Amino acid sequence: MKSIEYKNRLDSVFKKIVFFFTFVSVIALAAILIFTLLKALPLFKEVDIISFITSDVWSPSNGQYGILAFIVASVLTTLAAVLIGIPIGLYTAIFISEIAPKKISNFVLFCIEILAAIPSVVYGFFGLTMVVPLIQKIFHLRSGSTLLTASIILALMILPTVVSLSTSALKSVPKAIEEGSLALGASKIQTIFKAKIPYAKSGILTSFLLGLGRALGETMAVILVAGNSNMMPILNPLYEAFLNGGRTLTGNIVMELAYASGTHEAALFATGVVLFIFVSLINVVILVVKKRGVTS
Amino acid sequence: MEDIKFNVKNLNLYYGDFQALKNINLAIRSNKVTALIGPSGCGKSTFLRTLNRMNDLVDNVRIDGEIEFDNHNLLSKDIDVIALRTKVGMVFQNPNPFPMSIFDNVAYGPRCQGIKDKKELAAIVETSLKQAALWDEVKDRLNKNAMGMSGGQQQRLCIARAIAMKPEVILMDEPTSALDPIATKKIEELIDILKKDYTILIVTHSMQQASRVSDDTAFFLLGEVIEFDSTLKLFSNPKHKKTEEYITGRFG
Repeated sequence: MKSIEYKNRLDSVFKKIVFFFTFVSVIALAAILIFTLLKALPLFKEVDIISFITSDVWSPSNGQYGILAFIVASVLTTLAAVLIGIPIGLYTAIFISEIAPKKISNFVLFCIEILAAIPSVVYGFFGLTMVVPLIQKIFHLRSGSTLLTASIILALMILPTVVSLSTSALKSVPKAIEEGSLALGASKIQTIFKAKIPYAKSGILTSFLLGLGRALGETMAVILVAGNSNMMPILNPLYEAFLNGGRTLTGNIVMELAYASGTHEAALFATGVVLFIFVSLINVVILVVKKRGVTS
Repeated sequence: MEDIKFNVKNLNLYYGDFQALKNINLAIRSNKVTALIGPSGCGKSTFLRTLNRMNDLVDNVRIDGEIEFDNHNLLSKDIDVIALRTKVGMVFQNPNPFPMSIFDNVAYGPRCQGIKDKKELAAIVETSLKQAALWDEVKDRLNKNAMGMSGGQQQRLCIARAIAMKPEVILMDEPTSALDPIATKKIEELIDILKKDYTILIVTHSMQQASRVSDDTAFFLLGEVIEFDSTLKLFSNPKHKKTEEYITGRFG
């Protein structure tokens, strides 16, 4: 028999260990944030924040640092990726959790999980060798490296997130809700769309938002297929934006960081800060959605 | 000749190899309240769920026998289960309102049947809530989420939701077991009013409840109906020793 005193001491040591390791990840976040901000700071001696965000001229050799073109490209590809990926993902989740026989649904889920395990550079390579030529052919373009290509690859990449989280949200709907709906003479499809999806909506929305975050932050696959030109996307008509190359926020950092120095380097870190703000906004929305889901 | 709503003949039900219902024969009278009593696991809920084919959801279930309802065998393969469930409504043990407004909860069933007209829906919602004795409590907050109601109110909402389908029968599976005594009393009073318009079957673990609300009572034990009679007779003068032991609380 071990003494109570010994147990208590063990308890407090264990608590300290847990606290320490938790603290490591918080410290890491703070360190990254502070480091990025400090490195970005020198930029604002030469360029004011407003013109950094609202100018679409990026020409480091002339001292012009405007990232509007990249913000627009990032927003466009992310939204398009989500528009393509969400319906596919949600319907796949419905198929897996509600309709498919167990064996088939396990197999589909397995495939989706494998999709999540593929490194992003492989997605990029797949896009470069398969999707880029296809887009070029279909739309008769000079180059198939376009924002549309990037959106399609991103849509594929967010599928695992959307599918697996939506599936578990649907599976966690209590049986009582399903039975309550069926007992009222609702069909199976009505039960899924009118009772189960509304019940699971906060989980499903969270899966969409996490997919959004993933698409926004993705880098490697995007730079391989997006063309990376630093021109402002043509917004009128909008489809022109998607049929031309473009550079996202993440792409901008990766393309130039290797040789940048001084103000140029600071501008790249500032690009990172903007990206960080976007991702934080998405996370705030996720928190709100989750909280609402709990209270309603 | 009395009006019979369900005529159950030689009903057997198996979950895989386990026989949950054994040769059930019952005639459930129209516009009466029939209580199903018996210890846990005796098959009374299973029996209730055969009447609106909810057992279809269970894997590996096998049913034989016949249940005559509206001149049809409701167990037959070619019965329209959705149409059956609009006629045979159900209220569950734990209140299970949908996470939407009170109005939308009651309008759920009618909407699933394709009723879209707003006035018509509003009229159905009002009548149903009135019949469920809930209208006065909620008429000013029909657009509020139903999850914010008390347990007893939620259960009456579930009754209103079932009534909105204008069913012939309401099945109640231990409808008050999750409720406090005051909410229970309200539901019991409601059952007494509803039996004018509906045939009601209620599964209950409370002998007092069975004797208070029901006209007929069936005593289930290990998948068999041991005794089925008018509630008055069954409780005052049980024919079987097992029934007597159960209702006097000596086992179960």
